Amino acid sequence: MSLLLPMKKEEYLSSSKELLNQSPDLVQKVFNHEGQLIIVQFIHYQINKDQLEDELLEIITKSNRPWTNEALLNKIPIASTKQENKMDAIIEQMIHGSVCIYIEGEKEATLFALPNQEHRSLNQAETESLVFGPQVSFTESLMTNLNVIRWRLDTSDLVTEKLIVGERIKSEIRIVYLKSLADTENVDTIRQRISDLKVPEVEDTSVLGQLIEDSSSTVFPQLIFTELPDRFCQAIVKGRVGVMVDKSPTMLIGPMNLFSFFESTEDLYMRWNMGSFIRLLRFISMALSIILTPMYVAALTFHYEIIPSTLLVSLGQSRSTVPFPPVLEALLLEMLIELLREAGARLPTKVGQTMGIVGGIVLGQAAVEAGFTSNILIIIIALSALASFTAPSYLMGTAVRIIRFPMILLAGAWGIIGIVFALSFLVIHLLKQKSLGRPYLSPIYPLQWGDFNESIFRVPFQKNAERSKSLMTKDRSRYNESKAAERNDVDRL
Amino acid sequence: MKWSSILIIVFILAGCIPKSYIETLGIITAVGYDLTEDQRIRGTLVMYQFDTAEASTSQVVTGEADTSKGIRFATSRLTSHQLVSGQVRLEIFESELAKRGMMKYMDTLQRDAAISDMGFLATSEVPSEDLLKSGNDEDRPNTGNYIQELIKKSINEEAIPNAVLTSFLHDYYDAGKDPILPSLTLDEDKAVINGISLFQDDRYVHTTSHENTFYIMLMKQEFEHGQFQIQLADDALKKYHKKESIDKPGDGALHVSIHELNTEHDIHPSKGDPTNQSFTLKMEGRLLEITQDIDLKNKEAVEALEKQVEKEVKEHLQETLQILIEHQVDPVGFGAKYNAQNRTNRVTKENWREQIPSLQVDFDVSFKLLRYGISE
Repeated sequence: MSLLLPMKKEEYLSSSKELLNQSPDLVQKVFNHEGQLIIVQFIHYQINKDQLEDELLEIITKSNRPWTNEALLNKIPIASTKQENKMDAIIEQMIHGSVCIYIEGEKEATLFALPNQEHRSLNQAETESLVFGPQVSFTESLMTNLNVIRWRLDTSDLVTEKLIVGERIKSEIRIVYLKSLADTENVDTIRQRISDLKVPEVEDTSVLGQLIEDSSSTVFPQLIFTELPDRFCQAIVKGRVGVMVDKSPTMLIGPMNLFSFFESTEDLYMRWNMGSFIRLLRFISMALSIILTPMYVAALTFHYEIIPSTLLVSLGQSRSTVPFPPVLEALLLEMLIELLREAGARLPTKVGQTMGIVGGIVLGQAAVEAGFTSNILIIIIALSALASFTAPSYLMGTAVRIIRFPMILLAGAWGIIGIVFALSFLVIHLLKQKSLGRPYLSPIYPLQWGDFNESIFRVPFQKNAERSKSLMTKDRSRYNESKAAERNDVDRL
Repeated sequence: MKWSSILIIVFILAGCIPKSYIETLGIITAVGYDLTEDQRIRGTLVMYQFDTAEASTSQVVTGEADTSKGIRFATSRLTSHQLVSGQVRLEIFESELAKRGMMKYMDTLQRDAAISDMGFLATSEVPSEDLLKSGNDEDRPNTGNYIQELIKKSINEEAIPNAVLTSFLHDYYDAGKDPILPSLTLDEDKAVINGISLFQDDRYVHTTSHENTFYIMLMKQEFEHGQFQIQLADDALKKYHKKESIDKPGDGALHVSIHELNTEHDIHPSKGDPTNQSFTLKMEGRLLEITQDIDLKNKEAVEALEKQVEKEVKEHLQETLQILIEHQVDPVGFGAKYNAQNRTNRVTKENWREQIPSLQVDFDVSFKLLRYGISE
């Protein structure tokens, strides 16, 4: 049973201290104003002190009439106010940056929200960098992020639903979508999965993503996390649903399919043929990244027949000094690359570069010269590592690098049969995946030719009159294609 | 349970597959078969082997046995590497051995799944051991590789007919058709092609000259970008010699060189009689060289030149046919063509051989000169 107002000054002050665990940050100030005892309480770093002095204390002290709760609400020019009589609710509001004013004897205390949040300003994107296009990234502040999105999508159609998650530490979560476009079922799925969560706290958007995604056993990410406002907004206007979590600079988008992990916003900013080419390049590099090293292992362990005659001599010569079987050789080098990547990621930027040089050049060169590995394998491993980094989604790139290891092991055990086995398993696995209950492998399965426009190729905007079928948008048509083709140039012939 | 059983299968069954690490193998790339004096076969294997310190990656080993797999067994005593035949791209048969019928030595080539069907076959006038051990290989990894590239290039240039194992087997099993293969010989310690060898079924009978090779190919296949040289009668185009030419334009022999030769042909067997056939040949080409000064601006001169080429080609075709008939071989497949179009009086492998001497072919050749270059 929580404490209720009204109470005496001493009782009020001590119970507040008690509820805040004797926090040294609690400021308690008692004014004797026209015979009234006015008690002002706040946590000093949570509020904006300039505003407190100019807009609150000055008005209260300069008045020559006794104050009532109603007078406080009417006279003080602060928009966000609240009246509470429960002590623990008052304390919670103060933690969130409110100033509490209690006039002794009143049944309720008045709370003015003057929050002062420390946050960085909008910065350049770090993990998803673009060569060409907007550079700005989200920050940790939900309000700043919402501001950025409202500014990009300035329509009343934009819904930002609020949910609170976390039993111990509460986090504010926003579900963002366009009401006239996003599929109600997708929105409901996200809303239900989030509100069903019974967790003590949500650390970050990526944690929330893992809590609500369809399958937690797969290596493949099912929802996209992005720090780019333009990517987020592009997904929203396509009819997808976004989720924002307070205090997290990454946003979550769903539902996704496998191919959307290879889409970059840059594809849209570049001309369609460049965009399509680069997207195709990413698909090919993913396939190469998965296949290349296992193929080397399989060919050199079992299938010497498939090695092209012209390559046979150089392959054989470089292999002749290596003391390990090809599986071990490949695993060693793959581990080396993973080590380099991990060390590079953990170290500060300046040291990281040195690491790259020491690891990449010195180790690689020395390994070949010592007859530790064949130089052709070095090329293959470096190529497939490079290829795996082309994925615009960091999580997808990591997934691709991870599935290489079982494939190498299988290739070493069973040769090409093992590779085919692993690939079949991979395809079956992907077919089973879902993103927010939507098929993960669409538009390939279920086959939607129309969706190839956006997900596999990047067709010219003039030809992209229809929205993706697999997103089940409420409005399928983006524009009238025949009308869009009409040109009304002045010099039209 | 499901997962653990899959894992157990993967790692236990993996032991059942023999591993062939590339550095432990002696990878055979070319094989030569010769007949020894005591009627056994001597096999020469060209192989790649990758040793730690060895600079040279190739080795040639020789062994004697009665079967081709026996040769591998005999030669395996000569090397520390495990001999494998999955990269065999060339098989050479000495003509003395080929005379006895090649199929019994080629059995393993068809039967062993590791051996590529796209390997090249060739016959050799000298022992194939000498060919594969010859010194001049144009700095290729080994002589086997050099000969293989030589044959591959010649087939691409349409200088010799296709010589892969499948096409040989196809021709062999086809009733009314005989296979042909390129024939190799040594010239100053270097392997060279000296013509094509004709077969009765799988028995080698004769090696033709380069000139006849062209005419056999003209009958056997259609050219896309071939070339040929032909000698016409010295005074065949006398009328069209350039008048203003300072030198005597009509001096010397008249040779014509045709490039970018494109041909189409059609064989029409007469109904019910495989020995009576007609052969229509359409040739197109580009004149690149002519040894007399002919006024080619004159349309009639061009037409006359075409007529002369047609006449000469026709004569050569007839001569070449006589050589084929003389050796009782049919690499063109007149018999097979007859079989394809007739249901009565079918040609079989046995009766066609007897009928070849009475084969009559009526040639109809047309030649069109597409371009003849600047004539001024």
